[in-house]
Amino acid sequence: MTKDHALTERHRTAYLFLLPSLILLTLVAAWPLLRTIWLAFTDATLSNPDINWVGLENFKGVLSDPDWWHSVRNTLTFTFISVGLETLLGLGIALLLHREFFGRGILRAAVMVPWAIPTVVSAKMWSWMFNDNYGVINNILQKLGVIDGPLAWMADNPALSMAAVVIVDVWKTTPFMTLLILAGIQSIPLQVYQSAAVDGASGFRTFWKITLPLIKPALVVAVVFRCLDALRIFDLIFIMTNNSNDTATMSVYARNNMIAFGDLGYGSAASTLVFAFIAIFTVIYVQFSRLNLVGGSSEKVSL
Amino acid sequence: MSEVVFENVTKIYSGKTTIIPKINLRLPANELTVFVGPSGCGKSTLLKLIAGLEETTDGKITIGGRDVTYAPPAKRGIAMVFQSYALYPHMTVFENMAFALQIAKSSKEEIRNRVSEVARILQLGPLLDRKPRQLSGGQRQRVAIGRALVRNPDVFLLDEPLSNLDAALRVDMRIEIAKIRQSLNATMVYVTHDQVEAMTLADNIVVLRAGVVEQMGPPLEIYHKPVNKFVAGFLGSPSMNFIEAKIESVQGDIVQIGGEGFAKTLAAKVKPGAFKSGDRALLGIRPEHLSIESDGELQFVTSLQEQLGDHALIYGSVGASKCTIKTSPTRAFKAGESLSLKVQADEVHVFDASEKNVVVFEAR
Repeated sequence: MTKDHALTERHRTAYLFLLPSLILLTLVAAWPLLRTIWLAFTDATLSNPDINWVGLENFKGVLSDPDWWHSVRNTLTFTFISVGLETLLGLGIALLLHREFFGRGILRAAVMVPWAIPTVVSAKMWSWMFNDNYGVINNILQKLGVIDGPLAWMADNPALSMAAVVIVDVWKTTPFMTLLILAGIQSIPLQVYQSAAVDGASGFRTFWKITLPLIKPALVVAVVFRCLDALRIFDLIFIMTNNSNDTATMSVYARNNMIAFGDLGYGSAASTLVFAFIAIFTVIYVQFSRLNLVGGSSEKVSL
Repeated sequence: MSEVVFENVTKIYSGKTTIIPKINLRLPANELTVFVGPSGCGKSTLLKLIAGLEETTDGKITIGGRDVTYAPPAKRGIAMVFQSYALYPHMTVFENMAFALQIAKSSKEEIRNRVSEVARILQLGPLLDRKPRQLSGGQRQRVAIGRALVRNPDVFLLDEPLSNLDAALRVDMRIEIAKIRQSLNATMVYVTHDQVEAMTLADNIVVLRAGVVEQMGPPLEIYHKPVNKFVAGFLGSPSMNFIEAKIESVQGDIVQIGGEGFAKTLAAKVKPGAFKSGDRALLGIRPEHLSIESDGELQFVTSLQEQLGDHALIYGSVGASKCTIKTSPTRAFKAGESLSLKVQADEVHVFDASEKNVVVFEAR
């Protein structure tokens, strides 16, 4: 057997092994994506199978709709505030959980519980807690004297509804942040800290000069993941705020047009825009963080 | 003049695991003291107690007469080289070396002068802008040493600094450390499990076992006058032979040692009253103090031979005890050959039932 022959043989085997996952990805990812993009250029509706090419009409429609821009603003607000809070809280909790104390193992497991609960369940659960008449949150706030009367969290006030949604998202996904950041912290060898102690670095300086730069790669990955999730947020908002326009995000907008109004083409155009939005964000963020990472340690800390 | 003194120091982990039962130790100023011992003997713990990276459970540690038992690491006048080097991976070599000085609020110029001076000594000049990951193992090691030197410490602590290097590099770095040691006016404490490093670098060796000092002294004293079987067996390579023997007769402080594998008895001067006739004893003799000569005291049966060019090692047994001989290159022996061994009389050690060396060294 010649060398070339052996090589092609090996390549063929490699493709054979890859084939099942390639087929699966085509079916569940590539096909729906391409079909949605194609539908965005048509006048397809849920009820009408007669499909005509309409060019950029749908996109023009979406981009000139104030409701769309409102949903973009909502999405960005939600993403910025919730991911910001989750990062700060996740970092704080990760630093605490990294310390050795009695019951650390149990606490580490307990912290993960909100992340393990399905979103629909926690959304419903929190909806009840936020209920203006029977909700435990209004009850506690009133007893504490923070508010005079019950707040209508999910109704009149868009800012209040957004706050409630952000609170639930922070509660739910801070554990995810904590976990990723904790993994980053734990990859820093103990001797590096001991070395810093010998060098006379205070706790504060050790954090800024040693811990933070060294967990930056983990932090960047965590923030990207969370942003991608937050930018396409749908379930939590859809369930908690009863499909209200005040808190609708891009995904909710797309879904409403597609399903509620049956306008498949228009909704697909909105969906395609969400996709483009997230793709552009990812490329920019990864590019930006890679540039910054030259100064950090992108590989596993090697000493 | 920074003598390091342990006074009744104990170290107990989480209230139950005793690492250091109670130690009293005086490490002379401006000398290099090596802690050796098997893993788990507490040598690294002692170093961390000096550094302040471990909290002393009880007792007192002073550096240069100053009580530092509860002082933070940075306030002890120490610098430390870690086994893993523990360089800051995200900082350049320069930043690594400058970090402590920046914290101490030295001026920019001072920092630059100090770092470049140390970089010159250690030939780190061309590497100052590199990150640790761009350096070889030996270079990282030099940076770790440089980072410690920059701080101009009173006490220089080294925790198994060469154990992550390959054999050839280890020899180079050992020589480099010996050179630094000569030019440095500091007390050095060096932890290793490598007896060659201990023998070559130390002014004093402290042999530890289970947190207890078995013996402390200059390398050659420890080599030639080990106080017990543990110390005798720990230093020297190949290690000392221990041959099961019997006290045939006692005349004053001279005993005649014999037993299985002895062609004739061997006389040794021991401490008075150490043995009575018929006692069991352990004869200690290093491989290099045995020679193949007719009419020797020991009857040796060969099993394996290693030719190392400049010398040869012959493994076998004397009676029921394993025995190794180190000789000049020699003819090949067949397994099972019987040889007569002559023992170098002034290098004999005799261990009693409690494994103490009872031989009288003054006679030498």
